Amino acid sequence: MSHWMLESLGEMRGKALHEAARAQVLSELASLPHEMDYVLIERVAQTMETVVMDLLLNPVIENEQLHTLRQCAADAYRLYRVLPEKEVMLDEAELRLRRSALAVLGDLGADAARNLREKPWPTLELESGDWRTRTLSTIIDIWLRLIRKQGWDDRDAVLERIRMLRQAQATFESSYLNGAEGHGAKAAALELMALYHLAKAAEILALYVTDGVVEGNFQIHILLDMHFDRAMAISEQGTAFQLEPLVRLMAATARQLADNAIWTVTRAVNSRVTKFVHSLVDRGRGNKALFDVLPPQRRALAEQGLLGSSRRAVVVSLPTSSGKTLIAQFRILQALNQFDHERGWVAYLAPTRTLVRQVARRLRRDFEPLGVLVEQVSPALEVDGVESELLCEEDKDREFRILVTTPEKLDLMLRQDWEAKIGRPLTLVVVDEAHNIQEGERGLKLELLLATINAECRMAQFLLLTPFISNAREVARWLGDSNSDDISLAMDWQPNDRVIGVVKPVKGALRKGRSYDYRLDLETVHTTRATLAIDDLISLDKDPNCKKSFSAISNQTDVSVAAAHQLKKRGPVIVMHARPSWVWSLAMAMKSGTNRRSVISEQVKLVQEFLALEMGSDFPLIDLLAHGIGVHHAGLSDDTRALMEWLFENEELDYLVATTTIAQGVNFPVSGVVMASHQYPYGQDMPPADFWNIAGRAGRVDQGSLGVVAMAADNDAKADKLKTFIHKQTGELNSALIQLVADAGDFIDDLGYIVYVKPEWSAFVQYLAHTYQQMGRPQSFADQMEQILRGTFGFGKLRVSNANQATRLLNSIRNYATYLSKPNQPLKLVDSTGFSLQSVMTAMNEARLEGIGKDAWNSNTLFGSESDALKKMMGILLRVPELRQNLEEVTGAAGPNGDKLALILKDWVSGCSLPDIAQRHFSRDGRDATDALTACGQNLFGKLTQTAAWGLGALLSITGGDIPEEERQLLNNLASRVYYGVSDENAIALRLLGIPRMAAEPLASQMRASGHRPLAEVRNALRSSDVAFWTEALGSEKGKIYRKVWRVLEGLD
Amino acid sequence: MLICLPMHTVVYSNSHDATSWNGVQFEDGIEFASFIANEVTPRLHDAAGRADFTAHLNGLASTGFAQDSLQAILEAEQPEERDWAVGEALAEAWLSREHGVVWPWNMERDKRTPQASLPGADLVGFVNHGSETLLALGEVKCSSDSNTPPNVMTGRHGMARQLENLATDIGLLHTLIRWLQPRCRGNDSEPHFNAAISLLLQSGNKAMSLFGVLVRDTQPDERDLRKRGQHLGGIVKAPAGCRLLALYLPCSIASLPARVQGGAS
Repeated sequence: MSHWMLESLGEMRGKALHEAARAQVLSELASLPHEMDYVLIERVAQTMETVVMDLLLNPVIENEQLHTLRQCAADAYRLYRVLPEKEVMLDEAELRLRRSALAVLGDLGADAARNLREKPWPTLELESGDWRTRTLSTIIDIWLRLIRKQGWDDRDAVLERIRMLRQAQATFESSYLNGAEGHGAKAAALELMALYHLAKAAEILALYVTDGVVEGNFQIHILLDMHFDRAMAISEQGTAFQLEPLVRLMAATARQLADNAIWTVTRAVNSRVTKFVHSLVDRGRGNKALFDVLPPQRRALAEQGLLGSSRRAVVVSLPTSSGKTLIAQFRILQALNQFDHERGWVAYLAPTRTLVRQVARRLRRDFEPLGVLVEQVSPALEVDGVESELLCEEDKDREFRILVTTPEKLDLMLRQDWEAKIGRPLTLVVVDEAHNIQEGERGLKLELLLATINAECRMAQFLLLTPFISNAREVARWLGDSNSDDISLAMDWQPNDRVIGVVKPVKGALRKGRSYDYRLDLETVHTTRATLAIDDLISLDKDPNCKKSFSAISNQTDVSVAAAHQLKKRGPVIVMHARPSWVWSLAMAMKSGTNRRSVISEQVKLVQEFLALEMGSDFPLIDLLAHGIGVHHAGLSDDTRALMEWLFENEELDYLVATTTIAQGVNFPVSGVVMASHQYPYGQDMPPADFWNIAGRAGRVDQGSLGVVAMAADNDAKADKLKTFIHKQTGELNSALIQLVADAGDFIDDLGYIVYVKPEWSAFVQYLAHTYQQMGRPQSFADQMEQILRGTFGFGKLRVSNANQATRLLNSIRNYATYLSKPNQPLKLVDSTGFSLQSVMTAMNEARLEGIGKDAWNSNTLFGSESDALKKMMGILLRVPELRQNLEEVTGAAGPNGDKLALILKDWVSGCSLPDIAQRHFSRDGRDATDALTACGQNLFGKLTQTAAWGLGALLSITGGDIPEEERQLLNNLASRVYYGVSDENAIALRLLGIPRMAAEPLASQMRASGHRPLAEVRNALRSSDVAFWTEALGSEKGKIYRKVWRVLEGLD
Repeated sequence: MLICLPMHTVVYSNSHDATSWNGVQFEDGIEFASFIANEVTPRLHDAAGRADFTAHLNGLASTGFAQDSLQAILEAEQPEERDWAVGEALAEAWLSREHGVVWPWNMERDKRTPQASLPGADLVGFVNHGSETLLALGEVKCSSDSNTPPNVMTGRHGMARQLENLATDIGLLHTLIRWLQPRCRGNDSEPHFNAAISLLLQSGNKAMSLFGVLVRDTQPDERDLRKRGQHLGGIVKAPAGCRLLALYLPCSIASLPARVQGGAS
């Protein structure tokens, strides 16, 4: 960034920006007023604006200058924003317009719009009898509205005001002109003419943002330029000190607004995209109508040509909250169009069940009106009968085009040849939160999955979405060679301002008796992410309901509660702690007599009623909700967690108390985050990428200017530790393989044995087995594998960082290849089970010993109390390295116990309620009912159902090879019954459609009369079903509640 | 043969801090007449500045606004006749001649918006001060008021207040700079502009030269300027400088338009 005026300004610029940050942070957070150097701020703000105006005079603005222009405009906006308001309303409005225009030029248009929405709208004399005042007021008002863009209302108001101005011209104009003294009349006439052109330009822009076309013309820039050029020429004729620079500023702003318009960004891509844009700007969306894109979206879609490009692999690496999903949506539509003839499909991969559900809901909402069917398949590793049917649907109107699921599921699907079974090509893989590629076992699986797709799916293209990483290009090249691209925006754009700080109690004056008072100080911390940091310690108010004395505020929980109470004044707050049990106690500590609500909203009431049905009427969350407190952790069902998010997003909760793991699943904004812990449940620090993901959600693009992340420290040592943690960098994206190899030690020399001690190697050895099979078991496999490995993302880096281990790995692969080539190795089972070859053989042996063969698979008796087959199966699965850990944890201290696992599963499948299962199986060790329910939830949802379902499916493949295909189809659903916790085959489909477990079976029997129907039809039937349909199946109260809850979960209400 | 007598004499001169005030008495004669004819008159009848508004009026059609009233006003022939406008041109010419002020742009006083919310400045230019170039801003007032000081010096719209605003109102200052900016682009004024604005910014918006010119047709009297000069001396601080000038004419202000017309003919 360089400009001669900036040089003249010297250090003043930095000082002023720092002072402005101080003003902003202190005005929003501090309890007491502070002195500010407003003169310095204004002086630099004015200069920055002058620099911008100087650069705008250049006929062509080159890259470097454009960067300077954007930066200076953004600085000017940030400085002006904190200045006190002007006394004269018209002056204030004019300054607001200039300030907002600068924000648009500085790519902070969303900030400016939010700022305009938050402040009271200036009351201008739109009906003034003085024509000049009336005209100027109207012009300022409409341009402010064009920047604010509050739904269709603002757009309609712009058009209406211009119409009124035209109408009033005849009445007021001539008397105004005749009243002007002598030569002043000419000046007055010229000024009006310039203003009329500004009015017309506003009208053009207002029509364009909604319609994409004005009076039959799609070339918005030509139309705008014409009017601005005329306005400029006219004002140059006069000596309009103020108007002329304003016209020039608005000309550039209008151009930028047009560039940001969603119509401009997506013009002439294809008809699907056009239709999608129509639906986004639709009047029916009210205030949620989307008229323009955020700067990162504009750069990705238009300036870097993502939509026009034929790049096979693109990595979009942007800060959190910069709208990656919308970018992906456009890319998806483009891919669908590109392979329309082949009826290609897109896989959208999200890392968690919650995100799979959220994404599927959003894509379905947006794409169904375009006739693009979106389906999700469960993360359970088996493809059950219901899923199989939806995947193989051949009816053109009912076939899915987008499939949302987890990487693990897609991996197994592809290895089981589902691309061929679907009969249509996979054309695009969208990987959400792709930075997970470096996270341990799951990361490795993802990397190998992408490598497999790259090798085996001919038409597949890639779109990787990640929060900012520094080596996006490298990752893109790995997948797409020269046919790749990276779209990275690092530090130069943030969706909003935020502060990250450490909050701690500081001892105050002596109180009555022997206790000391305290205050809460927030110390902001400098980070690498352009967050605001100031020198002052920010003193937060003390809540009268919190602990009274310094010695009483003794731990992380107390400090977090006190800080959360303060931040809540600015909007809803997420409070995080490391473990579910701590989350409960933190949530309980948030309760006070004063935050109990006297009136409970309909939405909160619905969730309370649902919880009473599912968890029992004394479940503590019900009372917490009455205090505006929600809870979110792995001990709660997916449905409950989704409902918590729904309430929170709808501002029905003041606090959402959650485990730190929520950082991986949140994609909604919050105004404040309080972290009682920065660690995950097992004591490891949250990875920097996850921390920045949650920090990136603090503050909203749509409301609440300043996002605050406060990390609680109960003492100085803790405060120092937190500061070190915050400074940890997220740097390059690395392959998980590097860490895996580093951790393998000498076991790396035996890839056969390694899975027994290091189960995380399973994915890698499976990849070897799969590739060996795919290549037709070649003699030269080891050499070929070496070539393939050298092409992977991780191996290339490994050779540089750890050459010795890399060589050992290659040797080991040679040995393993020899092992794979032995006759009669059940290699196919590796792909159908998701187990390593060793594990397959272990399971085979154990099954033989336990007498589990094809006859053990009886869907009628397996979950019955008489059969001990399930117990034996669990015993076998407990010996499989890939499953062992999860299953063992369920029975915990009691040791591995197949019998116990089988009993839990039988209760689960037979429809027992959660409180019953908790009481029966998880109430040991003096746990109270809530702890037992939490442990039950954590184990059932987090470990048992998914692992056991996977294990059973795999075991069926291993032992049921001789079962006839038709029978096999039915047995495939056994795993899904375990996964969903239902005993009725028909209920599986309803569970896949998101029906809560307790309602699925009664509804399934109700629907049985309609016979078998495709999934999409069942979904439509449920959507259009009335209350009576539900109450008949579930009873009056229950029916109503479940219907409403399902509609909420589906995003229908 | 006509004898060239000196055109003016300094009748009083004083200062307070960075503010000075001087009275200048003009003598009637050939030199004054030539000054009016050659330096003042051209500033009023700027041929290049006379525009044809037809194109602008035609362009208005596409805005959906009517043009009848505007057309009537713009097409009316209105020769320069107001005495204050001539006074301003005279001040400009005098500042060029005696103080070396450069005017990058004819101020188009006939088209200055009478009720703009921002009054701006009457004069905007540059002045050399040693090796430095400074931004020069000025206010001009004409007065035949027999009171000293005349009422144009005082009050909300008085000269002193206007100069004070120029020295202290950062918004006003930068608006003027932004207006001046395109007029100093790609021409001889560009180096002046860059040098003056650099200096201004480096000095924290202080280094500029303010001129307050009072055009009088009364007897010279230091009281015309003294109080305002002392007041501004307390406000305007170095490196800013402020000069108040009272130009005492040998003729009445009301006769100035006629003199200009005569000179032009």
